[in-house]
Amino acid sequence: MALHAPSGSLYGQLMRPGLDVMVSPVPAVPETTWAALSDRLRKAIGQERVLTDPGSLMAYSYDATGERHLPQMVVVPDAATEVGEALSLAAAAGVPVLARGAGTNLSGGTMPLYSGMVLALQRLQTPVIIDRVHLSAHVSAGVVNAELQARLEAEGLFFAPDPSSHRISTLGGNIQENSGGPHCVKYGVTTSHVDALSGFLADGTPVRLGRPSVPGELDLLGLVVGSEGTLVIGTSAELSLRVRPPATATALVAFATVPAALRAVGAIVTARLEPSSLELLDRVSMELVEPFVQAGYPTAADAVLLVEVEGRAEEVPDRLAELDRTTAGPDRLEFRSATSPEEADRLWRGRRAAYGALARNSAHIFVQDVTVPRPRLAEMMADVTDIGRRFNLVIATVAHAGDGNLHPSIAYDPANPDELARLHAADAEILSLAAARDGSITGEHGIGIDKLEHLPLMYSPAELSVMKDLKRVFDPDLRLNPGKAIWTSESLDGSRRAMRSPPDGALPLMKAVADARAAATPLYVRGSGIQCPTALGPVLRVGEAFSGPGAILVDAGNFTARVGAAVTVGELARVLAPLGLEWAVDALDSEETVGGVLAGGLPALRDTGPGPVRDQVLGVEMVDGSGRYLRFGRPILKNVAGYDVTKLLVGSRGRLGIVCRADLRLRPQRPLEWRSLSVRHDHLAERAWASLGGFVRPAAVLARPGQLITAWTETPDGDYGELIADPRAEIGHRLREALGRSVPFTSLARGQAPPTPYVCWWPLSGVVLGLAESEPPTPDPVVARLRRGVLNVFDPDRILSGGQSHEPSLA
Amino acid sequence: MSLLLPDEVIREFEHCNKCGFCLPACPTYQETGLEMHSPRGRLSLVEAAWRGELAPGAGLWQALSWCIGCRACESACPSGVQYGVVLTHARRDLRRQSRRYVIQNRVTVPLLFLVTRRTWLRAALRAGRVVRTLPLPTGLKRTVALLPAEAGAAGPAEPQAPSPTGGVPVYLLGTCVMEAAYPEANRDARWLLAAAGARVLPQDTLEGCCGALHLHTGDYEGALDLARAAVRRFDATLPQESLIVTHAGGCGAMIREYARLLRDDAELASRAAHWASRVHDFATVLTSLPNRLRFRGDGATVALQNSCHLIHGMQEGVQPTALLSTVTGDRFVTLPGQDRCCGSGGVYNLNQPAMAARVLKPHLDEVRQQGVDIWIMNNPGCALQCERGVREAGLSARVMHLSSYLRERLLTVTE
Repeated sequence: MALHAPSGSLYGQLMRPGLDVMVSPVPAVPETTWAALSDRLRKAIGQERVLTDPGSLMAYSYDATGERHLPQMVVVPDAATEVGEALSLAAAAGVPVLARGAGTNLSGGTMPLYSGMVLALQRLQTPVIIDRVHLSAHVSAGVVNAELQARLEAEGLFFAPDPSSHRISTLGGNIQENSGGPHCVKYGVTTSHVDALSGFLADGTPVRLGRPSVPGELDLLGLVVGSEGTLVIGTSAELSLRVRPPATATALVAFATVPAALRAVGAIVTARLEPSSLELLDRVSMELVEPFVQAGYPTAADAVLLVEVEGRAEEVPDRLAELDRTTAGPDRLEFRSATSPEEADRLWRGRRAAYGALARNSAHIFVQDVTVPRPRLAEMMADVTDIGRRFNLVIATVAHAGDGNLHPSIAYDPANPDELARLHAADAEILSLAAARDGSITGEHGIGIDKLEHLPLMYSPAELSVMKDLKRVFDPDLRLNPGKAIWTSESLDGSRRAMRSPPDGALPLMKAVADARAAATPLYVRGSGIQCPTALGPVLRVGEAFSGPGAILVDAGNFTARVGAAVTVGELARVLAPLGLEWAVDALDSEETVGGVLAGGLPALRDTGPGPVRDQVLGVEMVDGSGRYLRFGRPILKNVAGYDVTKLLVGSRGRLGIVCRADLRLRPQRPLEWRSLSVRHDHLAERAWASLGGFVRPAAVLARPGQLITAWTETPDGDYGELIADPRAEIGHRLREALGRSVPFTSLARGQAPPTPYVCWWPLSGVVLGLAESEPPTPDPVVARLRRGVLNVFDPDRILSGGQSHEPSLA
Repeated sequence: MSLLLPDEVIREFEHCNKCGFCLPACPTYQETGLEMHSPRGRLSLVEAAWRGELAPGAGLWQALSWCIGCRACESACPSGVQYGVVLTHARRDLRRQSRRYVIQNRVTVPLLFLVTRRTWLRAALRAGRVVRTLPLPTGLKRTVALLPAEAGAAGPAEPQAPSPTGGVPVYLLGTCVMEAAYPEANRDARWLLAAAGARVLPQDTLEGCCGALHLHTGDYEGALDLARAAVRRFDATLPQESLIVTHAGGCGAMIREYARLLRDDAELASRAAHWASRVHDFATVLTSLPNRLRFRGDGATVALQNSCHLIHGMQEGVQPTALLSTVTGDRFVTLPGQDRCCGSGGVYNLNQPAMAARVLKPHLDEVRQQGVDIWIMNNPGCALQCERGVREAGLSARVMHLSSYLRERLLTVTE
């Protein structure tokens, strides 16, 4: 078979010696096929939008990584249907396809390494539709993040993910990369803000992935977000929005040394200040951006923190004052709060322009993106400095300090082999140190091509193999973005260095699964048995090693806990309470196990505040239906290394694997109790909001036809419902429409169980009106096929699914 | 064959890491959504052509000729890449390589000649206005449609305001197109400068072309000749300490460029640098003069189309807005596209009328939506482009130069 070599040779291309070990061979496509394909495409979507001239190909040979590889063809669709047509024709011709938005990727992810067809999606720009009631927006893939933000600002809303490239990068790209950004420290990364994605599979089949609508459905959306264009080509999405805080303030805090700045980060976190952004720039970065933004970064400082706090107008000065007190110390040189929005904007623009400004030193920048648990940021940064010194490289560093995400950037000269060798050695060392600290080799930029060879630092051959098999479920011919994000080669022998032995407690589980497979008997995994009281066969309980308070390992400075699956929610809460922390997940019963809650993934009353269970789980350790021990995710908020398999486990009802341990995301306990109250619907708009203090929107509103409506709320956590006047009336209106005028409402006492079966009521993001579905929606056959495929990856013999091959019913 | 470029251009590539900050700033990228028509794309094409990876042929030519040259990307660039320098030299070398790559057609060739012959240009414009009334082929009709509606209104001939003898001498550069198409704007500018207390130097009737249009179109050597002539003429006619005032952003930015363009000229380098440092925009100078001018309007809604080269070439784009907001009585609105290119681009709208019209379209929509009565200009090319747009779109907005508007609104002068 003729193989496609990485395309052409343009100046600056880096040697990638191990590529054939990592990437399944990409078949070469004969010229005649290309010619025929371009003819068909030109007929289908128009002459001038199928580009094959050398100039256009050159213009799509790069992304912001700067390395260049020529594509064979560029297709510029104007509509989603044209994306489908282009993909169908590409599938028939068997050519590789790379979809891209604005090309601001920083890991080579949108560079056509194996040539092929580039689908340039930035012209997919149907008008944004904003739904103020459900706080959601319908957007096309080509809409630029900042353009959406500008539209939302006028409505008093915002979309939380705001990567530094937000002025340029498209939402389609943000979703495929699971982008981060300064505001992620408070609001979480992109995946927490995407409710649905529509697009096409590699063969042109249209597909729509939403949040699971029925408990037990696998969260394919969670898998696809952050998959770097290797699973689905998205053309439009539903995003969840938030209400803009009434006031924000930006402070610049300068320090004589980097460690002093990082100590202040720790202090801010420990003091529970919960800033909405917490960023660091080192001296080199400041010197580079200052000529551009003239923001007046202090020249004597080795590091500055940029901190944004938000709240009600009267709260913000207090928060600034508290920030001032918290960061005070002998090494602090300056504390300055921006006096005007323009000044704040300049300070932030400097942070956002940091990557571009690095080009003042060189056009070729190797930018890293490691994340470590926040308390280890200082040692990680010290190591980076040391590595730079040892390898004689100038390293500029900016960091999303609040979430442990560090961007050491190294300028290099592609024509200097000695420097390249030092660069590679330094890179490998930094990445291994991050991985060894239970961090990630990429927090938000993606694996792309630049970090592909280092995936085994985090994943075992079995884990890499799961990702490869998941890829084949969506894209059996491996044509979408070849060479990126995951390893696709047949044998994963090249990754042996990451062999890891499972914890002792997992061994009996592995044996039990192996035995069950041999005997072809389904296995029933039980936690407390509360959610799933009946079992049709042998019951397996997760062992001692994963139960009791001894199986709870809290990292209080990181707001995470590593918790055994058999630990009960009550036990966890008792350990966390003295630390002032909580796992923001509502269980039906305190005797439920963490594993059970995770596997159930049930919607909870507070989903609209801290987010659903899926946002409260950062990683899992499991034994899958093939008896393999697997670990995905890390105790960090930002991690885009490989696929987000953790999302699949949440709500899978144990059918993919037996969860042994999970990394949970914690948050400071809310100081006030949360209340439930209900009102006659006639007065919902006025009375409910008035009684909620007009400040906090309800965490959930539940309604049961003919019976009850209840609004739950909790104390302020950054939801500023008061700004939106219209939805209140709108909610009332909708309720009246839905329920009729004579519906009575009753209230629940605090602590009283919500009306059964509340689990059927699926709170959406935003202000919620949840109505019991009378019929579960019929699953889309394409989605059902994908879910079966995913099940096959983990449990081909249906050992953990009770022999079922179909989607579970509501029971 | 590859593109030959001087080191100063290659240094600019070496400072682009393709971060993409230029994309939202670029009018042709915003219109087309095509990477090839973005600053980052053009830089990469020029670099590839220089490295011999891309034949310097039609593709590169198309990329470069679609560029308006507004230089908005320079202000957006975090690492300070001087895109304009790359554009100039790439166009220059393409033109050297083949006659096909000359941004000049049957309209612009005579125009570039005419701008060096003031009186002829004036006559040609006058003739064009008559011609417009005749039946013409479509192509030519688009061109003559660019001519201003009517000849400059007859205002007071020369400064009547008190002309102080002290202070810095100020020379208002008439500039070719302004002098021919909007002479009243020049008169009004001189009058206001004098009123504000400047010692306004008399008009040099032999003042030559600055060379901006020639540089735009790749006639680098032609532009250099004109630059040298201009520097010599300044030396010959102006006191050393004079300020050169322009209210044509394109010309002002060009004179600023003299320092770089003539850097290696043994005879003129220091003189060029001197005059480059003495050129400022009308609004900048007017607000720095001793007398305080007070303006009062009559309730009109006023908007500005800011000159790109004033903003990105001279870095004096803020002063006109500050000046306009001092006018009481009128309502000055900041259009979203105020600081974005209108598509004029020197002779761009003659060479690429279709793209120029696309770029102008959102501006006209904003003018309509905001109900703008007076649309202020600070560059004659923009005025021609916007005036035609307003006329063709059937809008009621009156296109006026900043100087003419201010003179009409002048209420009092406080010494």
